[in-house]
Amino acid sequence: MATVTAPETATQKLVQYRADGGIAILTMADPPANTYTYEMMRDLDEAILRARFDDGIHVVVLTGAGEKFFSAGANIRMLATVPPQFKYYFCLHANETLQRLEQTPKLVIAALNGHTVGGGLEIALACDLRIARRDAGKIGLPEVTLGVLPGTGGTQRLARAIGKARALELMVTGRTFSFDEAQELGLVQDIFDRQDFLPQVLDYARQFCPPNKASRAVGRIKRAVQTGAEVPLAEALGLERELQQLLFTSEDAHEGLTAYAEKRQAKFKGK
Amino acid sequence: MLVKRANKIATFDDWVDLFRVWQSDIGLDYPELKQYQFEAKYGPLHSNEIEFGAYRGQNRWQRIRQVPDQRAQDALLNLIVYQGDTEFASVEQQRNLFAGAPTEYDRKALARVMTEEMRHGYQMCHLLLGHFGHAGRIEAQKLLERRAFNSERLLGSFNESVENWLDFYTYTQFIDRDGKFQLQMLSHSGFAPLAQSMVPMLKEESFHLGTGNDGLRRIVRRGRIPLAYIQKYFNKWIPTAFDLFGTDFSSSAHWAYLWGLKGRYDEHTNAQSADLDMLNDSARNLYYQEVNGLIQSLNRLIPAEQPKLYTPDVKFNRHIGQFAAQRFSVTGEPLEEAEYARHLAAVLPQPADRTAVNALLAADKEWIEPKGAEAKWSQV
Repeated sequence: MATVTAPETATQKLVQYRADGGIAILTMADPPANTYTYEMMRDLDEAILRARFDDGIHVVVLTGAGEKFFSAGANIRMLATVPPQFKYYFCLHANETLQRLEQTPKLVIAALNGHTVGGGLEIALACDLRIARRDAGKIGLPEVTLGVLPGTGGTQRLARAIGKARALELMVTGRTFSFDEAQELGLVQDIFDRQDFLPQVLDYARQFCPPNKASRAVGRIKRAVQTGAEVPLAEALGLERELQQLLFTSEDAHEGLTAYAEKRQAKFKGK
Repeated sequence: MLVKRANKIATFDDWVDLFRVWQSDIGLDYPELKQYQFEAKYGPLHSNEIEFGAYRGQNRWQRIRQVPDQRAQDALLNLIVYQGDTEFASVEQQRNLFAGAPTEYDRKALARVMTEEMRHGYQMCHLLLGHFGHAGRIEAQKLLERRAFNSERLLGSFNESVENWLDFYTYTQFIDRDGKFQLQMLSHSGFAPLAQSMVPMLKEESFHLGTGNDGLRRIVRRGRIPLAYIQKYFNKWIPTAFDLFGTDFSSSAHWAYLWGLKGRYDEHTNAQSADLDMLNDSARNLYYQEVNGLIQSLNRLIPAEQPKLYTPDVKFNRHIGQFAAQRFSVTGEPLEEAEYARHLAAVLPQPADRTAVNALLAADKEWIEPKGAEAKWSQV
C-alpha cells in the first residue's frame, strides 16, 4: 500500500540510496506505483544532496522499485486529502528538488523501469538522459484528464525537450505512449532489453566515470547545457568559457591532453 | 532483431511484408501455412449502441477520434496490442509441433489452429494500422519483433514453451479457452471495429479449444499416457490461465468497463450490475467453473478404480494477484519454503517427465485414439 503521509517516526526511506563504483543509485520505493508524497520528495532531496556532496560519486542513476513503475507521479490520494496551501508548498518543494537535481554538475540518468506517467515523467524530465526498459510501460503527461496541468515542471521541460507544438499536443490530449514513440520524439535516448535492465544502465553509466571519462568535464558539459539553454546566447557562451577555464585547471584535462600527445590511453581521476 | 526500427512501416501492405518475414524467421515454411489467404474479417454488431459503462446508450464509436476520453483511447490501443501479442506468441509456441503430429488429422488441425491464430494477429494489426496512426504502426511492428522463445511476449503464459502434443492439447484446452473469454469480453466493446472483429475470431477460436478438448478426450479414452503426466501438464497451464485474467481488484479492468471498452464474459445474460472492482475475479471464477466441468467430463472416461484428474487450486503457483509469490499446494494448502520447492518439483512437469512423455509419444504410435473413421495413422 502506497504511503499517503508518513508518520513522523517513519524510518523506512522512500528513496533508497546506494553507491556502486562512482554511481549513486537512487530508487523511488513506494509500491505499487512509486507515487510521490512530500515525504518521498524530502527523501529524494536528501539523496540528491548526498550524491552531490560525495566526491566519490560521478553519475546519478534514478529509478523505481519493482518492474512495473518508474513512478506514476504525485500520490492522488494524498492530494485529495490535504488542504490547498499544503498542495502549493508540496509542489514548490518538488520543483525545488528537481531543480537541485538539474543543477547538480553530475550527470543524472533516469532508468525508466516501468510506467513513467504524470509526475513520474516530470521527475524523469529533470534528469539529463532517459533510458527505458523495453516494453515496460507507457510514458506521458495525462494530468489534463484529472482537470489539472503537469505542475512539477512538465509544461516547461517537455516543451524544451521535444518542442512546443508536440509537447502541447501531448499534454492537452493527455495521451500516453510507448517508449518506442518516446525515443522517436527524442524524449527517451535509448531502450535497453528487459533482462538485467538496471545492470545494463549501470554499465552505460560507467563510461562517464573515471578512469573512462573525465567526470568533471561531463558534469560541466551538463551545467553548460542545462543553464546555458535558459539564458541569452552571449551569456551562455560566457558561462561555457568560464566552465572551460575551470576544466583547463583540472588534473583530468592535463592528463587528457598529455595522453593524447603521447598517444596513450588517458587515465582520468575525476579531479 | 528481425525487423529493424529503421525499416518503419507506413502502410498495411508494408506490415504484411514484415509479417511474411516473421513467418520465415520463426520457421513456418509449411505449405499449409504459406498458402493460407489472410484477410481481415468483420462480423455484425449485436447492437449499434454501447451496452454498458459511462457512455451506455450512445452509438458505438466507428473511429478512434470519436472516443471522447484520451485515457479510453490509450486503453483501447493497449487492449488490442495485448490481444495481438498473444496471437503471434501462440504460433511461436507451437511452431515445432508439426514433426510429431500423431495423425494427418491432427497435423491439419494444428495447421488450422496456427493459421487462424496468425489471422487473429493479422486482424489486430489491421485495427492498429487502420485506426491508431503512428502509435498503431509502431505497436503493429513490435508485435512481430517480440519472440515467445526469448521470453519477450507481454504475458507470462505466452513465454512458456509447448513441448509436445500432450502439452499442445492441454494448451489449446486451457489457454485458448482463456482466449475465448477475452474475445467474448471484447466482443461487447463500444469501439465497433473491435467488437466486429471478435465475431469471426470467436468462431475460429471455438475450433481451437475444441481441438484441445477433443485431443484430451481421445488421449484419456486410449489410456496409454499415465494420468499423472496429464495432471502435471494441467498443473502447468491452468494457473497461468488464471493469471491471464489479470490482477484482483484491477483498476485497469474497472476503467475499461466504465469506458465501455471491455464487458463482462456474461454481459448479455447477467442481469446484475457489474462489480467494477471484481471484474477480473468474476471472469476468472466463470472460467474456473467451465474448466472444472470439462475436467469432470474427462474423469467420466477414466475407469472407476483409477485416480481422477482435478483442477489445481486457484491459489497454486500464481504470479499475478493476491496469491502471487505465495506458497500454496496444488490443492490449496499453505506450505513452508522447502516443502513448497519439493511440491513444485513433484506436481509440475520436470525434465525427466518431458523426456518420459516424449519417449512415450515416440515409441507408441497409438497413444491417442484415432479421430473418427477418416483418421489415418502416419509417421509424420
